[in-house]
Amino acid sequence: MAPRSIRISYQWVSDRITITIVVSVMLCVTFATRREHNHTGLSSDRFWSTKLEWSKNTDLVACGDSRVLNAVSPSAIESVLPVVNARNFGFSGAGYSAEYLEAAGRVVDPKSKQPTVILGITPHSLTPGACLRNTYIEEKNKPSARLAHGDAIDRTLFYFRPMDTKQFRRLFRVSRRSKQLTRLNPDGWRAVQTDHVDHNDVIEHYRSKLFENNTVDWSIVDSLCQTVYLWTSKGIRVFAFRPPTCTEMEAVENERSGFNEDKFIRQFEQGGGIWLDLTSSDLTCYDGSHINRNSAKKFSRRLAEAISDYGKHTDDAGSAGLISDVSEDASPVSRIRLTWKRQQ
Amino acid sequence: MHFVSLDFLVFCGLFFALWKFLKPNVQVRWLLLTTASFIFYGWWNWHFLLLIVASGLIDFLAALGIQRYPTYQKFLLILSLASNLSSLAVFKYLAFFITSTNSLATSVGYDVGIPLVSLTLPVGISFYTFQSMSYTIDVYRGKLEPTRNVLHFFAYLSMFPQLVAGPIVRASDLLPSLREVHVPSSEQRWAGFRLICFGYFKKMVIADQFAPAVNSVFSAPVMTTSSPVLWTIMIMFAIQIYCDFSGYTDIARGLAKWMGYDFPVNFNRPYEAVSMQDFWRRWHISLSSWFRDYVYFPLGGSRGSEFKAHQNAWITMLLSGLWHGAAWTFIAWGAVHAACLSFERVTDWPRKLSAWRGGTILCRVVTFLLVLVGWVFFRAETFTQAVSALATMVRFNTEHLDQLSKTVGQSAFDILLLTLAYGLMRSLSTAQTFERFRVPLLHRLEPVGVAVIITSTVFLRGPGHSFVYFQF
Repeated sequence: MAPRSIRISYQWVSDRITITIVVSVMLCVTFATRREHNHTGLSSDRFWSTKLEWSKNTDLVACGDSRVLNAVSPSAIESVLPVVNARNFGFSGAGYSAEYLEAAGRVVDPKSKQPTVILGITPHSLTPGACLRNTYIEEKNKPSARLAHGDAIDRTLFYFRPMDTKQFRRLFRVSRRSKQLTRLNPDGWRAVQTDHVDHNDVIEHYRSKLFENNTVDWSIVDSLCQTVYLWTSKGIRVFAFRPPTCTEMEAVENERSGFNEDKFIRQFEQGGGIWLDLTSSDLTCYDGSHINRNSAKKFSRRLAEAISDYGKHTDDAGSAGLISDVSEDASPVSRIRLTWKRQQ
Repeated sequence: MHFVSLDFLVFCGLFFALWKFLKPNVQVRWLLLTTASFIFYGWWNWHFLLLIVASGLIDFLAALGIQRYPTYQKFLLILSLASNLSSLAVFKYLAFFITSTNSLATSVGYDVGIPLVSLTLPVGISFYTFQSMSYTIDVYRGKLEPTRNVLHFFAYLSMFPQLVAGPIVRASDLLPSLREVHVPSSEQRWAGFRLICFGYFKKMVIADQFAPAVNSVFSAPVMTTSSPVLWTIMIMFAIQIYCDFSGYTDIARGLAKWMGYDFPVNFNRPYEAVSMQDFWRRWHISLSSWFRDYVYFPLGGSRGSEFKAHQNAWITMLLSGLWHGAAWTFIAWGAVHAACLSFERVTDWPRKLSAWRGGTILCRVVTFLLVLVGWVFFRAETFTQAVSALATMVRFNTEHLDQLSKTVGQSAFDILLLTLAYGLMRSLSTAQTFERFRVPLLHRLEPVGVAVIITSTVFLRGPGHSFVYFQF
């Protein structure tokens, strides 16, 4: 007869609960490793919470919604601009509420030689809906205790995050379609690399749903421009641009959102901001709204060159040369009204 | 402490580790069970503990008094019932009563302006007060010997698996069972484990996946969605509330099996009911049997005249509606069921319909539709919303049918289709057909099946969290 210890071990092994737990662990690990690892870099939780912790440690901060989040690479900017560090303070769905702008202002180091804020202006970011519900607000309201565990555990748990039924079905495919790889960088940039281009769903969503009872609110624009004025009076340079997207999307936004770009630019410049009109026709938009990683690097360098050129020409005496328009009815507080375009 | 939380997993781990290695001594087990249950309950808010202890002590002493002092039996029973019902009245119904009185007064031109008092509703108060009342009533009726050990009583009353959302376990079933030390067999442990896994699957995958779509549609004060979408949402809600509640009960029963105790089945495939009477023999069985034994039968039941039978059914169902929530929509839900039961009694339509060819299936469909109408009132935030929803549902058309999966969410829609397919398969097959599949080979593969369920729960869990019945 087998020794007692072997009999007890056999009982454990053959016990149905033990078998079930072992098989479950095997299945879970298999699915976790087989799922498309389309996220690298920081975990989602850590990415957002790191952004929320930034304070007075940046020379140049880019703000806005997911288009800015994807389009502005701080490292690409730093390769062009002689700044110490740049950060991307973009949040998905972010609107230019007073709270968000205040948070963005806190990121800039007031002792920097050239503190700079760059605002990516999308029509959606000027809507009440965006100001009420966005990732900035969601992440700010999450308890900080969720990150009590270390990064290694965070990354491990990331593999076991829930998935939708479409992703679940893809686990069983032998060959899977081209991946979309998203990297969440510590500088705040979300870099998305994908070969797959599909605009339809997102554009349809913008066309039929996004701006329903949620068009551009010009009081948000007023409030934004007042903040810009406060920043510029403190010596912070404020640039703005319309983040690159596909032509069809821009047409839908212009038609549905109530956004008037010229009117916005006029108000923005009255507050002391500088509008940047940048070429984007050679960039790749993968989902109808956002540009991919390589395009983001290209665009960011372009953005940095534009800022650098502006800086060079305003350092010179006066603002001649590239200043294409100086208004005669400049505001009483001595802001020079500029419309500045990068010379081709 | 939520069943779907890391705290609860750790708590269970510690509890069962201690439970397994404790001496087979009932007193020690009662102490552990009571202490653990108090920790479980007090985790939400330790103030709630004072209420359950005070309420429990009154009932414990009242039951002893009922046995010892026959002349004061009625008085002690009334004292016990009054203490339970008054705690329910204060914490659950006071705000409803004040709001309704103010509204009624305003509608007839008076402004009474009673100030609104808002009290936090202790979790599970509706369940443990009913469980406690059944104890004293059974002692009064001579059906049960009261326990002289306060730990024994609180082990019964506060037993953590069923404390906050049932099943309402009768003292005559559980108290004797608690007197013995049960070591669960491997079959019991496996049955318990399976119940827990399926419970979590029903709750985290099915109920939690459906919750966002349902909540989103019912967040509008008046229904603006199309008829097919609303029908889909109501079917989803019917499945959500079943899976949420039966999932919790399965987890509770599974945990009890691991302790060596058997809780009664609380749901028996309720959407296969062939009549409303049948539905109430299958849905929330512990509550419906409680109302039957302690309200309907004492009122006279169906003895006496037809009118009395209807009257008693209406009182029972309206009280059942009120038990579920302090709102007119819940009372309306009770009224819908009472009306259906009355209509059934008068016309005997299930028996007549089932005589037709395919009549059983027809009876199930009709019963399900009637239950669905009731669920509209149960889920709606206001009466206006419920009426608006019903109006939209009866205006049946096919507009936006192609947008259905996008509106409810692709994952929720996929899970809905799978759930309906499984339900239909179970419904159409007889018990014998199912037994034929339980051949030894498939029986051996059962652990693999449960492993698939666990894996699905990990990866397909939905975003929702609270159990629906926690609010009662």
